[in-house]
Amino acid sequence: MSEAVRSAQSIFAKNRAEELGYDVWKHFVVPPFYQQLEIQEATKPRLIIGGRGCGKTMLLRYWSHQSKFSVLREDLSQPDLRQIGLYWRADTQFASAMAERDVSSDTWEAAFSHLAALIIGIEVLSSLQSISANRSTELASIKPEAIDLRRLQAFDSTLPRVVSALRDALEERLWSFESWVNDVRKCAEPSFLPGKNFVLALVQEIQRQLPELKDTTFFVYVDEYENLRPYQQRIINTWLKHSEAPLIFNLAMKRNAFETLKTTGLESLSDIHDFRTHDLEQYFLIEDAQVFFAEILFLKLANAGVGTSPVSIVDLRDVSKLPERKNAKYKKLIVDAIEEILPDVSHQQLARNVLQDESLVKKLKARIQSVLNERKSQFSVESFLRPTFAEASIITPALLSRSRNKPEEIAAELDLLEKGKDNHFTGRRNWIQNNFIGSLLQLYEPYDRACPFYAGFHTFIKLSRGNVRHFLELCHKSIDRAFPDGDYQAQQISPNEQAEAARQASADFLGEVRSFGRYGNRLHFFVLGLGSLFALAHLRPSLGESEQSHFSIVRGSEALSEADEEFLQEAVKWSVLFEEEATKLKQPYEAETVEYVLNPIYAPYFHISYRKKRRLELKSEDLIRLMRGSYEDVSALLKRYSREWSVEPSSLYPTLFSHLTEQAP
Amino acid sequence: MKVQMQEAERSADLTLRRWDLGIVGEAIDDRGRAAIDLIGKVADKTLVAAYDPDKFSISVNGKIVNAEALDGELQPFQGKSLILESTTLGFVELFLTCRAAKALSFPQITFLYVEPGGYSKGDSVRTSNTRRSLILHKRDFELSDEVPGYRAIPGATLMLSDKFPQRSVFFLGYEARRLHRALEVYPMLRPESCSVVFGVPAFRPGWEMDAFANNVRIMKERNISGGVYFCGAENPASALQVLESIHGELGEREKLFIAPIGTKPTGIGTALFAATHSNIGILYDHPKRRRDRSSEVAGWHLYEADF
Repeated sequence: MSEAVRSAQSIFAKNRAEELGYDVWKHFVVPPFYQQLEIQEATKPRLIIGGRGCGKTMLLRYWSHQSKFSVLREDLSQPDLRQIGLYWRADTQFASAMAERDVSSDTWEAAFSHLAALIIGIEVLSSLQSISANRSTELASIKPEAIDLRRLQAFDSTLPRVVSALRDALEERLWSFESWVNDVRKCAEPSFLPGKNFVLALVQEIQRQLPELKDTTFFVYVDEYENLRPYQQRIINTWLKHSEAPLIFNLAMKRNAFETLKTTGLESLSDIHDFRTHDLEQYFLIEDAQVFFAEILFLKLANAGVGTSPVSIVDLRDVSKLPERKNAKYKKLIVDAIEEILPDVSHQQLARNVLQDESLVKKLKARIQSVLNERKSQFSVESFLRPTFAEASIITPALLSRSRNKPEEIAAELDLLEKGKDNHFTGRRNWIQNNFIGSLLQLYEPYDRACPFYAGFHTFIKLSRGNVRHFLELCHKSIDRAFPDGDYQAQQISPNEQAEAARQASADFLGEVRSFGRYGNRLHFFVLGLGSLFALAHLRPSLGESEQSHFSIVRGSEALSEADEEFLQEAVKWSVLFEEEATKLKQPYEAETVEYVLNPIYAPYFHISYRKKRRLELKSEDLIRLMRGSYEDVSALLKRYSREWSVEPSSLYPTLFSHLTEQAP
Repeated sequence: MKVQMQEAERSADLTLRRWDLGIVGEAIDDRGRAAIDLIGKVADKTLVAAYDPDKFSISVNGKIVNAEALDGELQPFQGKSLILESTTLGFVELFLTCRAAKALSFPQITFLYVEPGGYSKGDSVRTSNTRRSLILHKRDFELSDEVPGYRAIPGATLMLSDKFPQRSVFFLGYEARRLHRALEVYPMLRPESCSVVFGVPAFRPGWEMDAFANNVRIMKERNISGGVYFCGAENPASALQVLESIHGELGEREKLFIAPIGTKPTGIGTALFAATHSNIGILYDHPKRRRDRSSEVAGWHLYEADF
């Protein structure tokens, strides 16, 4: 493999925090919402929520001692010792083995506390080693090996007194514990340490002997909390509820994953009172995700030695530089630079592209002619194809398909548009804005090439919807397609390559749905059905309701069962759907409701719009078919909508819906 | 360990003897029914076993016992001959039985395995970068039952952490989602020490291409670089050999995790290996097999393993 190929691949070789190791300092960009996480003043536990790929683990690892005291940082001072993060991602397979198996639940509870004591205890001691390995002058006085931990022998008289030896001893106990869990019948039950009490005693003993850490708070970050067994969650909830300095427990999980608020006592957890919730994806919607995502790309390029970053990479890791990164001039600099690499395509340009393409023009003419024939109109195709007004020309088949629009009126409106007078295309009725993308997608529908509507940095931001991993994969695939030989030096990537990359990434991400938890197969089936339905909606000749890519549920003949509601929550948990409050009610007397938005990353695959425009009001029984029907049910549903919407599947080209006419396997 | 193998196109062509005990699973297709039928003819007594990954229990002829107490159920047959019908038994039942048989010092275990004649179309989707691969087919909607996902197996559960040395081995089939899901569930698996094993030669010429094509994207995306190995899809001895070779390279305190998510014969190899070595972690997703998934009966195999 050539050096060039290696270089291009190395840019995106590691898109997951786990692949970067525990010291992520070099790879971290301080997010724009960082101040809202109250890291400096945090005294309450935090609950970090977000879907896969939104950066939870990266954030937790950034807060953890390995990054905080990274050997790459030589400017740390005493105030940096005020918070020390301890990252714990439980091996859920191992944790799940701690139940049943003819062992009492009391024993398993004590065993889980012991496991926590060992892992967090090792992390506390490792954090001291991270501090002493750091070369900052102000931290040089800290000598962990001078600490005498003999008082911990109250828990176990064989525990060593010296930090490094105690760490080794805890590690050895972890190995013994592992053997016991693996074979509870044959191995002797270990002597259990009392979870939080042991860790607290360890922390207090360290603070008593190391004055530099007397005001330190240790933050335990439990990642993937949702994968623990309920009794294990209850134990952690109890520690969280009673968290106070110097030991505070924090959780990270997917949305809708907080299954039990119970503790081991009588009280349950309550939001606000016991913890603060931080929804990372919501923050991305409120704050300026586009600048942040572009900064991450520039950092990756810089770390791989590709191109020249438009901004200081060092500043991206510096919390104090955040205000500067929020000013308009800086944002413009970043966005201008990324647009150079991933140029967007304006609607006007998208339209011009169509009229410059012989095969698309031929198709547009055929569509106009077809609808004129249907309406028995004598107008010529040329009356509706105005080369200098490409956008208007492209939407004319949809306008002509609406019975209330007479062909002569549309032609007259085009004349007004050409003369620069008030018209329905750009005026109050805004025909172009409401119909252009829907019409464009219809034109590209059966073609082998991807529609450049899916290209551009701002499009990639919308397709990613707060998911850093999705954004980076879109960039990765674009560069791979445009520079297959790997010799990438931050050059511009053509919209066509970007659009093809988006379509391939979308197909790949769709395939991954099968691995989303216990209901992965069913979620995959659901997305295929729902996406197909939206794709059918996009093919309606009249585009009466254009760009439908979200739905609300309308009460029909069947009510959703509890299991159906759970399934929807599962779809939200895995970010297959996003749940939002309804924004536009069609009737003022309608009750407030929620809408479900299909993750826009799947839009290029289904050849539908990623913009949230019109919603599809889905009857509950139809939703039920999509969620738990058979293939035949879904097929019948799609055929019914196809008839209702006057969509005729093309017999000339293979389309998304060819399967509706396939024979049974 | 020595494994002797026989292969025949028809069961009548196998050199068979009598066994004291046969253990079978539930038949869900033609070949399963044919295999159980044969066990009924060659074993004096037949037990039906099924593992429950949620409860860590195993049902033996309807009696639910702790999976780790299976040796108690086999005790009456200590010193007698044992044949496992591996077409219908799942991987975990095979592993637990091998483990119990080892603990009870059974000298030998025989495995019967019947190859599929062909899989239903839904199973052999190969992805590609062409436009056609972006088009939906009915098979894309194939809905298998829910997959419980990767769950611990008593006796093969080690703590996986990227803070300690580890080596992992994935036996791969054509269902790339199983590899993908493992890597999602276990981000602490180190790609540089993760090896993959493909079944070559495959059951039928060309089937190995499906496995390559389907898994390669995930391997590339996750930078899996611990080595690619090959062993015959129908050859448990070859799977054992690969595992022995990798095991021999382990460093001090380096843990070995094996994911037997490829063909059943490689699963037999894994079960025998894990039952005879200590400190082996198994990563397994406990799929529920679809009814009538494979339509025909093909080659018959008999594997006799001496402990």
